Amino acid sequence: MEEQDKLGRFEQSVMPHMDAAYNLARWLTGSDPDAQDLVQEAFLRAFKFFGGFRGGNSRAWLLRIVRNAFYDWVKQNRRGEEATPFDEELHGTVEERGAPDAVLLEKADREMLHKAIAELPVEFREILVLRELEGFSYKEIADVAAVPLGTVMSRLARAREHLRALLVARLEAK
Amino acid sequence: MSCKEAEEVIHGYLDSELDVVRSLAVEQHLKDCPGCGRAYRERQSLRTAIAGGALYFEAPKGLERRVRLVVRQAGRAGDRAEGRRWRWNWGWPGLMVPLTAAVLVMVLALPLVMRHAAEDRLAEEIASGHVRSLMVDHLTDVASSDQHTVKPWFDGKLDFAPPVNNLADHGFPLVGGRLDYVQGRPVAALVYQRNKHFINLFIWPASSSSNAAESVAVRQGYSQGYNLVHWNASGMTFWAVSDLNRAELEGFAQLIR
Repeated sequence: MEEQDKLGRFEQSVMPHMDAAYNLARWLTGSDPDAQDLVQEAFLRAFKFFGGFRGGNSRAWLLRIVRNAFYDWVKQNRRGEEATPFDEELHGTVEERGAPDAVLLEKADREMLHKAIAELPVEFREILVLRELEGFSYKEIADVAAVPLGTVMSRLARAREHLRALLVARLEAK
Repeated sequence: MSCKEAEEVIHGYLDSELDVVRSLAVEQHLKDCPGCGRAYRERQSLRTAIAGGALYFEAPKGLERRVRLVVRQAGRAGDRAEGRRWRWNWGWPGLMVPLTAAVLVMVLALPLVMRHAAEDRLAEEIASGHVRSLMVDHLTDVASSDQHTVKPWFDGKLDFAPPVNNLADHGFPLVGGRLDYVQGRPVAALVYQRNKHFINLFIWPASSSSNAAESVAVRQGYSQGYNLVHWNASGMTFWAVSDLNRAELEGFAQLIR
């Protein structure tokens, strides 16, 4: 009985975030089949831990599980490069801004944007996805990405600068 | 507010994450300073480009159905477990009726019946674990045929050290290992291969109460179309599960023992 109840509540409060889970998984893994497997694994974990979920933001809660499952998966199945610890400083510098790029940037199309974001280090990718695509607040991002609130803004700033630089370089080369 | 200060909080401003006082200060600065104003507009246009870029990946159609199915399966497995436990709890008082002979028989038989029921449930859980390991492309957490790689991998992940042997010489090469959950506890799952068949060997410390006594008794079974072999040895409980035929699986179990 209890288990049926749990399933019902789970389907009502967590299942609707399928798109959010898939979107994050897709951006993190970079491939559709990997993302699908990751989502399935994350939902199974979520169901297992659902008893410990104290209510509140179920989308952020689920995305944290997706993210954790992703990093476990990287550690286990993958080449080591993405598993190396992220160095804020290393990724902290980007060349000085030059001419106004506002008009130029508006010319970036979906394909170019997609490629540029996919090339960013995974820590930048996840924070951009959470902020720009999921519309999460800094507090929610801090919860999902397990970083201090203060780090969210600085990392987001760097992520955007990197993305901007990539896009500008490509748009100018066109 | 200086340009440097504005630069530090500009993303917070862009994301509406600043308090009112700082937000107004930034706004004023952007009006006063053409350079910062330009930089801000540039960032806005980046956001606009992302927002309008149709970058959100929606889940493919089949995925929700697939996930719903496996979650329901997990739910049902838990439900069956609930149901059984429930029945025993009711069974006890019912069996205590003062018919001495019956009571005596029952009391002697009940632990056996209970153990069998518990074992059935466990066998189901083991078979499900096996299926899941093959289904979600999550067969191994550590993929290695080297027992000296696989064994230390479990250090710090489990509160016991599972015995790991490579049986490649006997036609059962070690594929790797994985953490799994059985009966709510983390267990070691070793993966072996026989031709095209995978064998999951689940290992965890034997509970002292239930089956330490039958330390070498071997049980064979069949659950959800998979063969299972179960035994206890040197304080550990072992469950081997595979779609391999029973004789070969039993041969595998003998090698491990």
